[in-house]
Amino acid sequence: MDIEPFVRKAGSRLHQYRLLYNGLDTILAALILFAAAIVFDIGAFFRLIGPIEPYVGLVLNIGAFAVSYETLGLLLLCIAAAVLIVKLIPRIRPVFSGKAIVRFFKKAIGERKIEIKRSSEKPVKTGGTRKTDWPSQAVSLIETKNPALKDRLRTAYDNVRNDDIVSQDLVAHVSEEIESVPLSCMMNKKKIRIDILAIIVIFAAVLFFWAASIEPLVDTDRIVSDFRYNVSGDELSHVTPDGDAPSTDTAGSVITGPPTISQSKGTEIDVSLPPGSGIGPGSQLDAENAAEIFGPSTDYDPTSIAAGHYTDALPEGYETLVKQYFEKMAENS
Amino acid sequence: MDNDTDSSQIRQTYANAGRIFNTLFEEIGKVIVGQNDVVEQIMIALLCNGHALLESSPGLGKTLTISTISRVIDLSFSRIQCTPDLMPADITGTTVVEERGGTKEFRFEKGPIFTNILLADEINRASPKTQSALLEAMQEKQVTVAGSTYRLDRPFFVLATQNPIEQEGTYPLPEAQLDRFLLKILLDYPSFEDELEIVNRYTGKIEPQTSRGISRATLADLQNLTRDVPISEELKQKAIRIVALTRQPGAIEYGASPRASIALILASKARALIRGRNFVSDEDVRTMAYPVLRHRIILSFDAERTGMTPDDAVSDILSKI
Repeated sequence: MDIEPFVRKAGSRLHQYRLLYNGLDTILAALILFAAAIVFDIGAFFRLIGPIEPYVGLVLNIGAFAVSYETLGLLLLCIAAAVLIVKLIPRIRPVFSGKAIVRFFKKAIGERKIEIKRSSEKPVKTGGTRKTDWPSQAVSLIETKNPALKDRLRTAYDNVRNDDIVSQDLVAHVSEEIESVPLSCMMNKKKIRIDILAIIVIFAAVLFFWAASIEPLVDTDRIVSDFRYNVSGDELSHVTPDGDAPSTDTAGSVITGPPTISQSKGTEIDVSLPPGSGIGPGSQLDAENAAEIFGPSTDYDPTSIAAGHYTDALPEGYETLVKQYFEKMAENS
Repeated sequence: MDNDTDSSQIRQTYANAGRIFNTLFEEIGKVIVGQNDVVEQIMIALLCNGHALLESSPGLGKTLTISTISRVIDLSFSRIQCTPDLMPADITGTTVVEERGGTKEFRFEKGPIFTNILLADEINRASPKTQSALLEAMQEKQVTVAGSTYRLDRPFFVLATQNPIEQEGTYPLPEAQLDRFLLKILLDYPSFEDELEIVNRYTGKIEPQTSRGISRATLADLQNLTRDVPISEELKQKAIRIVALTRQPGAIEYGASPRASIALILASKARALIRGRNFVSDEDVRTMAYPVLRHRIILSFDAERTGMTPDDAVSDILSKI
């Protein structure tokens, strides 16, 4: 079997396997986060976010299922967090691994200073790129799984185009040996088995929590309520819808009952009309004497005329009265 | 036609490389007891067409080792005992006046350097002028005397020795000159069992003898094959990284030059070929890092004060890779 197509194919297969591992890790991480969110009722905190609060408690019908908006939002958040975690772990693991930490502290202080100084200096360029070299990684993995090919497969792959005797001899031998190497040897079957088992267990646990409607471990509703209504003093008094006196015993208050009405104290204003007001032409007029006092200006019945007509055709003395009325109102406002 | 002959000859040599080296080491082993690493490193320097610096105390068989190797490979051998009064002409040769048929003419009398294998014993005793003459010949593979240039025979291999215990009145080789040696080989005292075998062999009536193992042409083929041994890109970069790390500040004051990278990769290829492999392994690079780098790095004062050796510095670098 030719080495170059074999290695290219191995690289492509490894990439697929890595995608599979990442997918399983993401699902597992999302399920774990979702389970934790249900246990600690994290969804209740959505009420603190203004734009989202109106949707809390509402239900979205998807086919035969009814899912609450906060559950859907929680699920999306857990998936996003899981994707982030799965992406970040490979980057931070080498720095914070146990071996790296032990090695750092084992060094003398002077060496640590040199180490820190070195790490801040320009690194030795080796010509490597940031893009993942899947064929190269596949070769490393195949060599690990097949010790007889250690160093040989990589050397043969890098020198496959050399036409000297030694390189050609190496390439010929390795080409023969890779025919019996299955690409599935690169798959981490143990990891896949563990991941699937963990997904099943966590999924079952999530369904159990959901179906059993178990009380959350933390009283998040109270935390959210305390955060929103955390004010003191006499400015506010809580009145129940029935007009009962507010209860001072907040510990015993029913937090799941009908919302209370809050009112704030204002200033007293005199809403009484000045003398003579309220006795407008409308109240004194009737159909019998209306025709004697007023001449009809429109075709409409004078007892039921448009408001604007009052100002246009007020009797003598009422202009002053109306003016005084509005002046009094302005003073009192 | 010649190319076909050469090609088939090389193929033949390659096919028999394992047997050739076994024969070589067996023949050498008849005379030299133990010192397998030293013999292997000398062979590596030979295959790479380089030169070696050997550091050892007196009486450890340096001359015997190199003269045995030259006999087994059918190469001419010369020895120079370097002393402070040694002149460059004593090494390169000189022009003498010769009377022939009533006329006088100049004739160039070749010096001991005109050989295949030259043992320059205690090179640090020779004056800097004499050292330069030898080192220039090592680099150029030719000698210029009185305006005439004389090419040295191929292969040309110099094994220079240094005595680590008697340093008074010596002229240590400068770093620029040390860099010309491919390897620095350390020769230590033999083990008890080896010393017992040495005594048994060399206190008897019959001294061990050796015979020719390989021809000069076969050696030339092996030298060509050494350069053909493939090495992966990853290992190549690792070798360069090892050398580059010697230039980072720390225990090492002055690091190795790119010549060390070339030397490391070549030496690794030669070791792979000697061990019967058609590829360079990680072990080859790590093992050859010591003889390639120990004479090319200068430790800082602090490091030397704590008793650190160049080999310790190389170990530290290898632990980081």
